[in-house]
Amino acid sequence: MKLLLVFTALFLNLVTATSVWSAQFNLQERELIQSLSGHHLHIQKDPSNRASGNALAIKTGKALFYDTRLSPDNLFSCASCHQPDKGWSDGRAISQIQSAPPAMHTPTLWNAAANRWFFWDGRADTLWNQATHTIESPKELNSNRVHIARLVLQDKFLRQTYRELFGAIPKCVSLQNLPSSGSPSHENIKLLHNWIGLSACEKKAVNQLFTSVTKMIAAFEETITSRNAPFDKFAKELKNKETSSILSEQAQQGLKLFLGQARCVACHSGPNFSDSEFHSIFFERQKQDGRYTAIPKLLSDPFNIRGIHSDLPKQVFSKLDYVYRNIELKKKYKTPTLRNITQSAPYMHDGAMPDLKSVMKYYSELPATVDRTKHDELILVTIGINQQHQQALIAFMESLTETVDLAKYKVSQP
Amino acid sequence: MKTIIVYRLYLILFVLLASCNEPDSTKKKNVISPDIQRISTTQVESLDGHYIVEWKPVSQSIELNQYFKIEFFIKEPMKPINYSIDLAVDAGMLAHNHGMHTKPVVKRLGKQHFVSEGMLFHMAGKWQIELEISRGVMKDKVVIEVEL
Repeated sequence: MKLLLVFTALFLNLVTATSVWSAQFNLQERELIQSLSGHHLHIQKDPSNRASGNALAIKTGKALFYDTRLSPDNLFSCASCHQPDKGWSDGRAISQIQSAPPAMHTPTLWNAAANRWFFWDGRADTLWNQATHTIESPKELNSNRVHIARLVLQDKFLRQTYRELFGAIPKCVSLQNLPSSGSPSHENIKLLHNWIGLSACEKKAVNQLFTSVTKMIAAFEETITSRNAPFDKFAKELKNKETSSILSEQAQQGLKLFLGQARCVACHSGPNFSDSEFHSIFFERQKQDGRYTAIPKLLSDPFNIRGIHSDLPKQVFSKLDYVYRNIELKKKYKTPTLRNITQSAPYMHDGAMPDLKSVMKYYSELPATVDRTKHDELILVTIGINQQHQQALIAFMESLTETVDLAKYKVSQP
Repeated sequence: MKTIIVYRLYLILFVLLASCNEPDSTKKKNVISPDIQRISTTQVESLDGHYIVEWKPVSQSIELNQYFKIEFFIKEPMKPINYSIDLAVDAGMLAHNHGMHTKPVVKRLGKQHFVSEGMLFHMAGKWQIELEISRGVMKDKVVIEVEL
């Protein structure tokens, strides 16, 4: 009889162990879960942007974000590609607002300010620096800095806001004397010609007015945050309890895979689910050199954090001081955040994956890793997880999506 | 009777083993743990044995994906150094086949005292910090392993 009881206990123990395994996390997993929790996500004021965190700048930046006057043809604004309803992306693999489209997928703006570098290849070092590129790129807004400076000079509200946030408008610049367009562009002779015709004082003033606009847009973008998804509530509860049922068992199983076998957390680390650094996942389609090519552009950019338009005091540490161009950065792209990831399909830096299922399949099989001579990322190995596990990982990704009232990010009359 | 006791002991052991449905990995160092590495001053001998290097992070810890600085005090095994040496610092993850994405700047704080700024370990796992100590053309190396 006693023997029967022992075997019954043993049997029950095994059955129980099988049914709850996915809800149990060991100490290290629990620590990792806490490290990913949104309550650690603190968006700091940008010391290189005097408008950062300023209420007037945020309000004006929000209006500018939707303002089609930023583009000379009055057709496009930042919101043309960064649409709040599409996870601050545009639902396309590659944006199509210009005839010559950009090479990469529109990245989300969720927690954009938590990034260390901007764009997929990190060619900008601040949010306001990023906006200077986007506005002037012929593949994006196709605008120019003289056009933006004229916009500030023409618009009474923008003029007043400039004075309040950035000081007096330089006297050497006026609507009467400025050409209709101009930029030190090497791709457009007319813009370059107009730019060369300006005096040194005018050029400096135009750059000041131009960066004031990008700094206000950046101040608004800093407010686009997400840190209270179901996963964060789960992490909070798990801090004080052994288990939590806030996430489904499938999502918890996905979380366990995310931290363990699938090794997603190696790059998607920290409360923004991104290390904000660069990795190669060896995409057959990737043609650009990624971070490697971006570094010289970043270092020579007059609007970088060490440039004269940055508000960062010279003696203060800058991440730019330690950047260097290493051959191993070739073909590497920034790890994107996974927060609200379900909203911003398609995926990857070139938008090649239509849905999360394709992403899971790619990482599971990694066809490119069969030929090891094609890449140097030793950590990039086939993880070979089955479809059930891929579904579990997707269930976990879904738990990173927060229900946010997007109305606060929109303007009633653009 | 003796056989029954032995039999029961085997059963208890079996039940105990079966109840361990999760391997106890809490005692093992997880290579992807983002936990903070608490490090006090540590001594390492150079590969050719010419120098002893004492090192410590300037802040209390090295944290995953946060810039940090390390101080180095370099001496000969039996005495302090009274000649000029140079120091170069780099780090990488052998298991991943990549280095840091930053180029540290080494500043001299004294004849044998240096600080390396701009260090960044962006991934969890085992990092190797490599020091090259130069006295003219004579070079010696130090390898320090840190696990995040």
